[in-house]
Amino acid sequence: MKTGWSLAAVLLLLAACASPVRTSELPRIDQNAGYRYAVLEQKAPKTIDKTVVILTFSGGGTRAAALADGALRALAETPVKAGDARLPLASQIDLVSSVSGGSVTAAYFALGGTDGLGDLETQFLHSDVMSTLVWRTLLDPAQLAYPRIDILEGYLDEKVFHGKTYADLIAAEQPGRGRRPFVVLNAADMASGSVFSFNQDQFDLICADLAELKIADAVAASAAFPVALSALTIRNRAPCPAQRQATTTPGTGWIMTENGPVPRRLANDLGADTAQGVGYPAAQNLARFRRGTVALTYLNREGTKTYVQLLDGGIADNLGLTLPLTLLTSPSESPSFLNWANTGKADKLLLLVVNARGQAANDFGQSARPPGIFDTLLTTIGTPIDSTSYQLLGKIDQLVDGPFNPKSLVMVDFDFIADPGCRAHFQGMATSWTLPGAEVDELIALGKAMVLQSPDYKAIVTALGGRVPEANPSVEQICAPFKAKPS
Amino acid sequence: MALCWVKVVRSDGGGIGTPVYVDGNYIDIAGAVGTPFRTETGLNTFETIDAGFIVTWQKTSVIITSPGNAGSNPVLVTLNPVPPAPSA
Repeated sequence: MKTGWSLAAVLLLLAACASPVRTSELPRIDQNAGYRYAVLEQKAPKTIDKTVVILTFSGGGTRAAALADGALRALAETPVKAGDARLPLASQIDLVSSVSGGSVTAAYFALGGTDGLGDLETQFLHSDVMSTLVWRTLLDPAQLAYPRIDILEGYLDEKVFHGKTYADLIAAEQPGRGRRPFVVLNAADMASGSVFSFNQDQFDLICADLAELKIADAVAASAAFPVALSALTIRNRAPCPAQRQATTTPGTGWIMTENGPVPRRLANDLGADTAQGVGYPAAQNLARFRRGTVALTYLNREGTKTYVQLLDGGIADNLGLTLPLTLLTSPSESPSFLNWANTGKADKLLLLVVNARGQAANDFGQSARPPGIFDTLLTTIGTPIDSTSYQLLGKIDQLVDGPFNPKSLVMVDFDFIADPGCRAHFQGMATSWTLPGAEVDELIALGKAMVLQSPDYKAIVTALGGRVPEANPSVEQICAPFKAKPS
Repeated sequence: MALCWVKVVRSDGGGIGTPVYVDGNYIDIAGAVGTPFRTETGLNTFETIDAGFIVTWQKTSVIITSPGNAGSNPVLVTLNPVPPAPSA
C-alpha cells in the first residue's frame, strides 16, 4: 500500500491526454477464429484424463507476479499421465484467470509456457521496474503528453512482452509440452464496475479484433492501480456489420431481435424479466441477469459507450474468480465446464487460487483520532482490491461438489501460513513493481512449496497417475528466518 | 448462478442420445436428448443441430424450479421441430 502511494505521487504529476487503443473493426464473428478456448484446443488438445484445471492469479505488483510464478513452477515439475506420455501438469491447464499483478505472470506464461518462466525472473521479477519507469519519464518529457497508463504499458511492451499481440498467443500454441492454457486477463470497466475479460467473446460485443491488441495493453489495464495509473481506453466499435451478419450465419449463436443483433445467451439472460408470464424470474438468478445487463451495454445501442475505460481488475473481482465461476455454472459460455460435467467430458477438478494479498502495517487501532485524508483515500481504493472474496470461493466449493471427484481446491495465500511471524513477513511485502531480490526468491519458493505440500494437490495428481515432487525448500524451511519468537 | 436439472425430450419421442446445446453455444454439448443434465435457471433455448449447424429441434423455456432439485426429478423440456429455412 505504501508503494502504491509513492507510485501515485510520482505519476499524478504527469499530465494526460486521450489515446485510445488500438484495435480495428472485427470483419466477422467466427467461433473458430480469434483468442478463444476452442481455437487453442483445436491446435493443441489436452491429453490428461477428464480433468478441468483452473488457476487464478491475484494480488498486487511483483509480489503477486512472483507468487504466481512459484505456483506455476510446481505444476511444471509435476509429471502426470497424459495419453501415452507423461507431461508436466502445467501443460494441461485449461484456464488461467488473472487480475492485477498476477496478470504479468499469466500473460508471460501464455506466451512462453513453462520454458519461459526463467526468463520472467530475469526480465521482470528481478528488475528495478519502478526506477526505470520514473527515469524513462524524466528523460523523455514527451511521455508527459500521454495517459499515465502508457508509461507502464510502454515498459511492459518494450522490456517484457516485446511487442507481442494476442495473435502471437494463438500462434504460440503447440501440442504436448508446448500446449498453453487459455489465459484470460481481467480488468474492471469503470462504467459498470464489472469485470471486463480479454477474450474474443468479450471483444465480439465491442466489435473489435483482439488478435491485434498488444499483450502489454491488456496486462497494463488489468494492473492499472487506480489514481496512480489512469484507465486504459479501448474503442467500442459496436454496433457493426459483423454483428448483423452473424445473425444469418449458422453456428455463431447470434440472433436478430427487434432491437438489433445480440448473442442468444445474452438475450436469454435478460429475457427472463418479461418471458411467458413469469413475474420476475431474474430474482431467481440475479447473477445471470446482471451479467446480461452489463453485456448489453457493450452493444452500444444508445451510442453512449463509444469507449470502454478499464482499471485494475482487482476492483471488480479481487481473486479473478468471476470467469471460472461463470464457466463452471453456465451452459452457454465457451468453454462450459458445466457442460463438460454434464456430458462426462470431465469428472475431476483442480482449482488453484493464488492470491498475494498484502496487509500493510498501520496504526489505525492505536489512535483515538480518525486516520488522515491520504490514509482514508488509500484505504478506500485498496480495500476492494485487497479484500478476499471467500464467500465466492465458498460458493464455487458448493457448486462443484456433485459432479467432480476429486475436487481439489488448492489455496496459495499468505493467510494460510501457520507461523504468525512468517505470515506477517509476506503480508508486509510492498505492493510495488520493484522488490528486493531476496523477497522475490522467497515468494517464488513459497508459491511452489504451498502447491506441492497441499493434500488436495496430491489427491488430484495421484488421480492423474502422477507423483508430486517433494517441496524443497518446504514452507517451514522458507519461514524459519521469520518465525515469531515465543513470548 | 442457480442451477436446475432438466430432461430434454423430442415431441416425436425420438432422438434419444442426440447432443443438446443451450443458448447458442455450439462448442460444448450441454447434454443429450433423454438424459437429465444441469442448466441455469431463467430463460434457456435448448437445441439440437445438424452437421451444418442448422437448428433442427428447439424449445425456449423458462426454468423456474428452485435450485437443488435432484437429477431424478428433472424439469421436462419438450423440443419441437424447426421448419427448414426457405431457400434464397
